[in-house]
Amino acid sequence: MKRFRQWLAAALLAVSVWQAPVQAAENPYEKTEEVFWHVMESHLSKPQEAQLVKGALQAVSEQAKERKKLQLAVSAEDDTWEELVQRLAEWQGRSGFDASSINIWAIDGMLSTLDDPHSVFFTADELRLFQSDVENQFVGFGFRLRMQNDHLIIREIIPGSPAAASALKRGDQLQKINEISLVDKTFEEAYAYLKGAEGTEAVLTVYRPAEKRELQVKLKRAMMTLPEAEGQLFSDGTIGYISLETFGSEGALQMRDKLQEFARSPKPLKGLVLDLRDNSGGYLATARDVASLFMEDGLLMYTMNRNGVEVETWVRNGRDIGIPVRILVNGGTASASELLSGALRDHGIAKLIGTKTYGKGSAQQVIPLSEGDALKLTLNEYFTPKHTVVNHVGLTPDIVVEDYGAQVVEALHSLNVRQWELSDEDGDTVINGVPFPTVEPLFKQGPGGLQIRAAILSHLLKDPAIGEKEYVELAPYLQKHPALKLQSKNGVQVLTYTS
Amino acid sequence: MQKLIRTLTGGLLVAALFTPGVAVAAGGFLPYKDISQHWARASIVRAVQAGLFAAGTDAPLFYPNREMTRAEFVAMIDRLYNGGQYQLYPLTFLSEHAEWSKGEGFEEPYLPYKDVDRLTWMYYPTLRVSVVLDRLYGPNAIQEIFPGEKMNPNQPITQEEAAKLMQMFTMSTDSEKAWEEVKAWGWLEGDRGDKLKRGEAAAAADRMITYLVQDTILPLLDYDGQKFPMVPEIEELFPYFATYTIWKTTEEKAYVEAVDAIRDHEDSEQTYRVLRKLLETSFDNRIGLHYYLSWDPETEISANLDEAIRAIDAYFATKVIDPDTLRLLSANVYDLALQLGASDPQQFAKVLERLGTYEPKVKPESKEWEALAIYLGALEIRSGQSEKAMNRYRQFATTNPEALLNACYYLYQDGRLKEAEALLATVKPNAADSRMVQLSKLLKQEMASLQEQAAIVSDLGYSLRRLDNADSYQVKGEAVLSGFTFKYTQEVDQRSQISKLNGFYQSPQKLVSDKLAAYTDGRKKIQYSYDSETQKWEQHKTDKLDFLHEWVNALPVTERAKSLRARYFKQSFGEIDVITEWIPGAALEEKSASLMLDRGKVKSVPLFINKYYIDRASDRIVKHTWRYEEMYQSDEYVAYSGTDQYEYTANVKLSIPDEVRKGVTP
Repeated sequence: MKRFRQWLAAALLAVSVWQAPVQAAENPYEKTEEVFWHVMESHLSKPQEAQLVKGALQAVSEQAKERKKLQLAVSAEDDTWEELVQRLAEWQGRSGFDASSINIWAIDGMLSTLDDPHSVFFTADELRLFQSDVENQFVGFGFRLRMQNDHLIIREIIPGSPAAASALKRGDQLQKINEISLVDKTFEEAYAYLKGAEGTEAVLTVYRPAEKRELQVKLKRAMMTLPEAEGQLFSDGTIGYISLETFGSEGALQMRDKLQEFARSPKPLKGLVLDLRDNSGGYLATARDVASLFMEDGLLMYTMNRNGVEVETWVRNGRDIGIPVRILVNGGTASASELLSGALRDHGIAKLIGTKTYGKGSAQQVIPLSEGDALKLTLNEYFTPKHTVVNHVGLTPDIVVEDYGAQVVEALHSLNVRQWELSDEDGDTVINGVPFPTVEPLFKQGPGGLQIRAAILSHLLKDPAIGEKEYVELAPYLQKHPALKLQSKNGVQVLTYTS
Repeated sequence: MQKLIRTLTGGLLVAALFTPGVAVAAGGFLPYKDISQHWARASIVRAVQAGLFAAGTDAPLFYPNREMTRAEFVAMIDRLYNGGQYQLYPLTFLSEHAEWSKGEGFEEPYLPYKDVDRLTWMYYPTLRVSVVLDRLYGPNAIQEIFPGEKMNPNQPITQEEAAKLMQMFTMSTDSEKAWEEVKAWGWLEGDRGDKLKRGEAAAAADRMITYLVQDTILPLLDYDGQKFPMVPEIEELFPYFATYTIWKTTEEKAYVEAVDAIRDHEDSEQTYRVLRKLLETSFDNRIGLHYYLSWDPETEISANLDEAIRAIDAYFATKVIDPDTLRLLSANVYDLALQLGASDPQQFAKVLERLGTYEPKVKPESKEWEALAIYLGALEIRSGQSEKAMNRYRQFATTNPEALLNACYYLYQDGRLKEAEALLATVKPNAADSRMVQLSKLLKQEMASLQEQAAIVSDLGYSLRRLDNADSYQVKGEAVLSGFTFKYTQEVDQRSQISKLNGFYQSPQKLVSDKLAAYTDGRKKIQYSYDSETQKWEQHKTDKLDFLHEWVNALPVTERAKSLRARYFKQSFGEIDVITEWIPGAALEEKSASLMLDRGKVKSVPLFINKYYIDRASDRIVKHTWRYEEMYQSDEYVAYSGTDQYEYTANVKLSIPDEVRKGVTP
């Protein structure tokens, strides 16, 4: 192939069109302009100029109405970039808004016309937040909370965090932050009071039920990196559990280490449960590396851009995992998680268990803009190796199970687990030794004795008649199923079962 | 004054690359606890200094008597390649990007093994070595060394397997001879089947470092026209030209401070003002004063040259014989001549005349004379008196490496290969002179390859004609042209002279790639290409040449060899014969002068390299890799590189669809 001349010429032409407006000096709407050209050039949907112009004007007009009760009518005539700039300038004069506010509104307005929640403008601060989210980094005191019986309870203390260096303990009830009471606050309200910038300090008041006393600690908020992959073996030592929280830059390596750790255990591994619930994705490269822990080589996905160019992405030099895999998914399983789930299912490596996934079958790129701002823009749609569409559709699991705990039960059933042991511990539902942070406990005292989560029992006994609604009384089932036993170990109720 | 540094090519760079990363071992401190009694101790230390082995608290022991694994040895070769890669660059011409194993286009390379996983420490080192071997010897070349679908990376490596990897540095023309070649260089000491011990590997690495820091592997190859005439490497560019103690006079102190400032690139106008002031005093280091005044960036180059010449006058005024100093002073004059000559080639003869006046002042054929003569020779070459230069070089070719190289090179350029061989036969280096030993061996090897030129041209011509005569074939390729990356499949039906192209390309200024689709009608000389912006087929005449490389690639190989002075090198590796072709820029500039190219007149051609991979059994070209750099009078710089892979199995029948021919929207 020796003749690329025509494309070169065409492409160079396009470049000059792109550059000309950006070079215009002293444009108060430069930020809007940067976003406008990137979206025009690259967004998957090939948007029309008029569409973006209208969206920008509409958004600014609404803000004017809301903030200053000013009527700024969007004219049907305004459908070019030049007209947009003129109109924005005119409106700025009339409304007295500053240019940076107008920029933000106009950008949001343009992006809202794309029908694409994943194309987002980030200020420099928002970009940092987004990146630390992908890398599982958080600013905080270093504990995880849960709401139990209307108390905010410290569920977990993150090693190496400020909380770990303090007197705080697991099980402490959070009462106050500085002078603000957190009692009777919702989880979300409490979270809003607890969060703050890195380096800021607060005095926390907690109640320790075991010692029946209150104590105060002064803590500084710090940046912490949480592991991306965590997991352990289920109690019989032959089934592994790995929860991948995000596809950050360490995810694949941490997952590799977990698998190696399992391989060193005395019993050979017979199955793996990979938990991708509420994993909203991350880097494609990490997804590919993770896939390489499951397959020696194979197609990971197809991506298609606005010009109809379809590209294959392959996993190479991986290793077949050689054991059945169950992937837990739910509505929060999105993007790279769906990509991995779809590919492993298409290759017959894994079955999906849970609820329908989010349906984010698109890939974004973060484009740096001036002053440290950035635009996360959708460039590609992707399809699974069998060309399954994911975008706006989601993946329907092979086994649909609604309940969070029951999803685990179903996964273990399908891996031929026979021995069961379920209990509550510190607000987690513990299934065969692995704790799952469920919203509702496994057991509850009812008027007629001990009750159990219906869905979990239903899936455990494979008895759909039990239903999936809330709680049912346990006693009748203990009578009906001799293999089902309730024991008390160290004061904890433990349900055992042999299926 | 970085200009001087730039002209002192070769060895200086290498020395820097192998500079110790860890400054241990200097005071007798050893990087590992278990090597003090080991025979290869010095080699291990040197290899650690060259960055070939990790040392430190995480690696307290070296285990010199353990067998080395395949993966460990491959990783060592990767690091060795990394330090000495410029040595192999004329044969790999891999871009930096590819060296990091990401490929040069859209496709990422991968390993042909099932047991080297991407998330392991050995993966990237092994992949990088595999990429280099692929480029050197053809697809999946690493399997010639470790055959099969498994590499068994943790298995001990045998001496012969190690030799096959080390062969890449020997310029061997035949993989069958890897063992003999590596033994002949003395890098390995055991038998073929012996397991290589870690200490032995370190000793081999040490010998290879010594080898790699000396002359380039094809000493007479000047692929970018920058190497000849060759001048020696200068080790100390900023001497004081005198010894000063801690107790200095005011003048000495001022002088030393000025020299230090120039050495540290912290010189200012004040620095040279101080030196000029010193000239008016009785300060006796006149060589130093004039030499450093010649570095003044504020004065004209001709004035700098005057100072450089005055420094030589000062040298002879001292009546002290010091060849190293005279060499540096002559190098300085030569460097300034290069700067003057760049805009006015007449200057070379003028500088030659001035420098030549010192020749009678030195004893003929003494070391002092050699120091001067090497630069006189270079100036003679630059001013077109190559016969005179050749005679001069031959006078001290048997003892001086640069003289030998220059003499051989210009004899070969003049078509007098026999004389060059005869000269080489008279070189009987002292065994202790490792540079001359290595150089004469490499030169003999290269002479043999130069004798082969006609045969290689004929082989390549035959395979290229076979491609032209095939009824049909398919090309899968990737290319980068001026930053635009292309990936395509092209089907060629030579009976109808129609070809069809499909693929996509990525502009460096865009975030999304675009489709590539075209038909070419060879008879009518029309190309139909699809414009995805307008969604229409367009047609273009192809009867005119656009780029220089189109013209070159249409020339028969015999023509490229004859009129473009192309140089060829052939290596056999497994089933593949690899022919590398270098075409000198000067010849391309000269011969393309009369061409009418759409890009305009050719101004210079910094690089023009092709590599053809030929399946020996079928004599068919299976792969072609290229890298061209072309500068046009408009100052447009075109860089074009890529790889095409050929398939002959598909029987392609092509015609141009009507909707394409009529230029309508499909």
